Amino acid sequence: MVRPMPHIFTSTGLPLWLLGWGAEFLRAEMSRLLALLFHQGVLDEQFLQLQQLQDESSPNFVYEVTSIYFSESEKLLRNLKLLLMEKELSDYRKIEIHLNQFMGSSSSIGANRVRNVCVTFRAATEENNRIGCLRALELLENEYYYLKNKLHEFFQIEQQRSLAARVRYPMQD
Amino acid sequence: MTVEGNGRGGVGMRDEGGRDKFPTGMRVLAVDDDSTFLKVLEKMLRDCKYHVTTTNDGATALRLLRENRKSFDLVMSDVQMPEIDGFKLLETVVFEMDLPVIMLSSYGDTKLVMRGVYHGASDYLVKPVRMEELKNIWQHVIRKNFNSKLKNDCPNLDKVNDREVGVVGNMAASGDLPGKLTKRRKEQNEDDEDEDSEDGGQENEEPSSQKKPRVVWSVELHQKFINAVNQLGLEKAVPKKILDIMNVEGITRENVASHLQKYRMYLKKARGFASESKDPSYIRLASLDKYGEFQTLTGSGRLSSNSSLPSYSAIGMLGTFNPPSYLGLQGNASSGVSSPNYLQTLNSSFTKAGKLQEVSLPANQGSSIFQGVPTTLNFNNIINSSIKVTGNNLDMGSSPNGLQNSVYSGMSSHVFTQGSQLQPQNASSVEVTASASWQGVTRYSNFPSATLNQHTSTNLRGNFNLTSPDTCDNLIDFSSTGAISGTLEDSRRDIECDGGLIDNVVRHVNYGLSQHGKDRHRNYKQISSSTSALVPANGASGSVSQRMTQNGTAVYSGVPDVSVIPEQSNLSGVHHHSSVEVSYIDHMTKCNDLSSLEHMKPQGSIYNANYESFDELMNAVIKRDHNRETMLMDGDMLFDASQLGSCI
Repeated sequence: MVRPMPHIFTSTGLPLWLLGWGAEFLRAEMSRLLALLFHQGVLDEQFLQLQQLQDESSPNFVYEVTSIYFSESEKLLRNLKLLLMEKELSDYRKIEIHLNQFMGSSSSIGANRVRNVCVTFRAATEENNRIGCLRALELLENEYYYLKNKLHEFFQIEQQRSLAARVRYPMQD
Repeated sequence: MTVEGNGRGGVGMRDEGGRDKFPTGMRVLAVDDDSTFLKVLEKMLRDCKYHVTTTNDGATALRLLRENRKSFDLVMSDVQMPEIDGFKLLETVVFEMDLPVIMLSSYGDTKLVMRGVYHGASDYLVKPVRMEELKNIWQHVIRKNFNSKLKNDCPNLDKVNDREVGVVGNMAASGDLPGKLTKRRKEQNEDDEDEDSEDGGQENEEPSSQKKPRVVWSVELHQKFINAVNQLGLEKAVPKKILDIMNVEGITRENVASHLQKYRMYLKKARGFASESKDPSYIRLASLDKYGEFQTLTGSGRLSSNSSLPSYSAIGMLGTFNPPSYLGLQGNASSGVSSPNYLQTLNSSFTKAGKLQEVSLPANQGSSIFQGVPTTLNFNNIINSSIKVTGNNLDMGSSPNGLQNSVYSGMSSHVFTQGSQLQPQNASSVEVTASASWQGVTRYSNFPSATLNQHTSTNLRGNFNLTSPDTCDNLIDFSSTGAISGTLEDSRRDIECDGGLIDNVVRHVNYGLSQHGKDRHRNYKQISSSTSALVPANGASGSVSQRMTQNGTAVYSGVPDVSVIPEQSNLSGVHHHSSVEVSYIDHMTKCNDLSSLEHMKPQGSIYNANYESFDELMNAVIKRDHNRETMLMDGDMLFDASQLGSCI
C-alpha cells in the first residue's frame, strides 16, 4: 500500500487517529517530515536540542517555543516591511536591529534557512542597498512561511500521535 | 598559581560541602529582547541547575539588580537591544554591581567581541548557545570573587596575582613571568620612591618591602578629574591645569597625564564604536592631535604620525603606570559613574591579553621596567587593529634602532613590530589567542565562516557539517555524487503535489541561461536544485533561489546579483543554478512531460517503510539513488541550448 502524504484529515473528514492510523505510523510520519526538513536545510541540529530539552517538567516545550517564535517573527516581519516601504528610507540601523532579533530567535529554534536569509539581508542593509533589502525580505517571508507551514503540520501529527497513543483500536498493532 | 588556602569566596564556597554544591543554585539574571531565545536559554539554565530570572527589558534588569545587590551571581545580556544599549547595561552591571556579565549576541564578529571586552564582559557567547557553554559559565563567578578576595586579603600580592588570576583556567602563564613582574615592581619602587601615597587606597602595609605607592584613581578622585576636564573642555584639558583644578595632594602631573591619556583613548573608542566610524583618517587626526599634545607635555621626539600607540605608552611610562592600581576601583564605584570604569576594563580585561603579549616579547627587552608596558601596548595593539581599516599601522620606519635613542617610543614600536612580524595583522596575534581563552569561542570562530564565506563549494561542505552532524555524512555523499539525484525524492514528490511548476521554472530560467557561462555550472552542480515546488503560493521566482541552500548554508551569492540588476526578474540572480536545474529537469521530464516522472518513482517506495530514524531514511534514499546516479550525472547535465529549445 502506498501511503500518501500525511493528509491529516482524510476525505471523510475524520482525523487519522480515529481511523485507526496508529501511533506508530504517525510517529514515522513525523520522522519523515523532520527528515525532509533537515535534508532541505530548513531545520538544523538546534531543533534537535529543543526536542532534547523537552521533558516531564516541560512536556510541550518545543511547541511553546515555536509558538513564541511565530508570533514574534510575524511582528518583526511586519516591522521590517513597514520600514522598507517608507518613501525615504535612510535609517538602516533600525532594520538591522530587527534583523538581529530575527536572526537570534531563528537560530535558537534551528530555523537554519531563515537565519541564512537574515545574514544576506544584513549584508544588504550594511550596503544601504534598498533593492537588495526588498529582495531579501521577500526571500525571508518565503522561508518563514514555508517553515511555519511545515512546523504546523509537524505539530498536528504530533498531536494526533499522542492521541492515538492513548486510544487503542483492535486493528492497531 | 599557588595561592592555596585562598580559594574561597563567592557563593556557596565557604567550605567543602559548599564547594560541592556550587555551581548548583547559582542565580542568573538573563536579559534579552528576544523572547524565543530567552525561553530556550531559561530552560537550558534550569537544566544546568541554576536559578534563573529572565526579563525582556534592560531597565527592569537594572532595577532588579539595584534592589538587591546580592540577589544575583551572574548576569547574561544581549548586547543589541532596541531600547537600552546592551553595552551600557554591561558596563553598569560590571562596575556598579561588580557582577560578572556574559554577553550574548547573534553575531560573533571581532569588533563586537572586542567592544564587549572593553566594556567589561567576562565572556561572549554567540547564539544559539549550547549546553556545554552554559555548563561552564559559573567559572566567571568564581574568578571574580577570587580576584576580589585576593585583593582584600593579600594586598602585597596584588600586582602579581591580579595578572595571574586573570588568566587562571584559560591560559598557561609563562613560568618566568612572576619573576619579571617582581623585578618590575622593584624597578618602579626605585624610580618612584619619592611619590607619596594616594588618598583612597594605599593598601600597602609593609614598609619593609618598599612597595611603590600606587596612585589609585578612586571614584571620588576620578570624579574630580572629570569635573576638571569638563571645566577646561576636553580639547584644552592639559594635565597641569587639571592638576591645579583638582587640587588634590599626592598626585603628580604624570599621574594626571597618564590618566588623561587613557581617558581620551576611552572616549575615542566609545565614540568610534558609537558612530561606527570606519574612517581611519578620523583616527589619524585624533592621533595627530594627541601627538601635538604629547609634544607639549613631554617634549619627547620620535613619534610617527599614527602616534597614538607610542605616545600613549610613552606617557604611560613616564607616569606611574601601574595596571593593578586601577583595579582598586572594583567594587568601589557606587554612583554608577561609568567613566572610571574603562580603567578597570583596560586592566581586568586585558590581563589575559597582556599576559600573552608578555610571553611573546623577546628576551632583549632591556630594562624590565617595560614589563608594565606590554599591557598597555597590547591594549593599543588591539585598539589600533580594531580601528585601522587599511592596514595603515604605525610607521615602523627605523623603529628597532630607535630603541637606544628614545627608549619609550622605540620600545613601543619595537613591540609593535614584534607583534606585526608574528602576524600579518597585528590584531590577530592577540585576538586569536586571547579569544581562544574564551568559552564558546569555537562557536564564534566557526560562525563567521558558516554564514559569511559562502562562495566556495568547499565551504559548502564544511559548513554543512556544522549544522547537522548526524546527517552530514549522508549529505556529503549527496554533494559528491550530485545533490540533484539526492533531491530527486522531495522534488518529485512536491511536483506531484503541487504540479505544474516545472514549466514555470523552466520559463524563468530562460532569462538567465544565455548570460552565464558553463563554468558556473561546475560550482553549482553540487547545489541541489530541485524545483521551486516547495513554496508554490509565492511563485517560483523568489523561491528558486532558496533552493540553493539545500546543503544547509546559504550560497546567497545570487542575491547580490539580484540587486545589481534590479530591472530583471528575481531569477536573474539565480539563473546559474537554475541552469543546472533545467537540464536536470530536461532529463527527467523529456520535454515537460510530467507523467514521465511517474516511472521514475521509486520501486518499493521508501514511504512505505517505517523509518524509525532519520539516518535510515537517508541511507535508503542514497542507496536507491546511487543506482540512478550514472543516468543523471553526466556531462550532458551542462546547459545545452538545443535541448532546452526542444523542451520549451
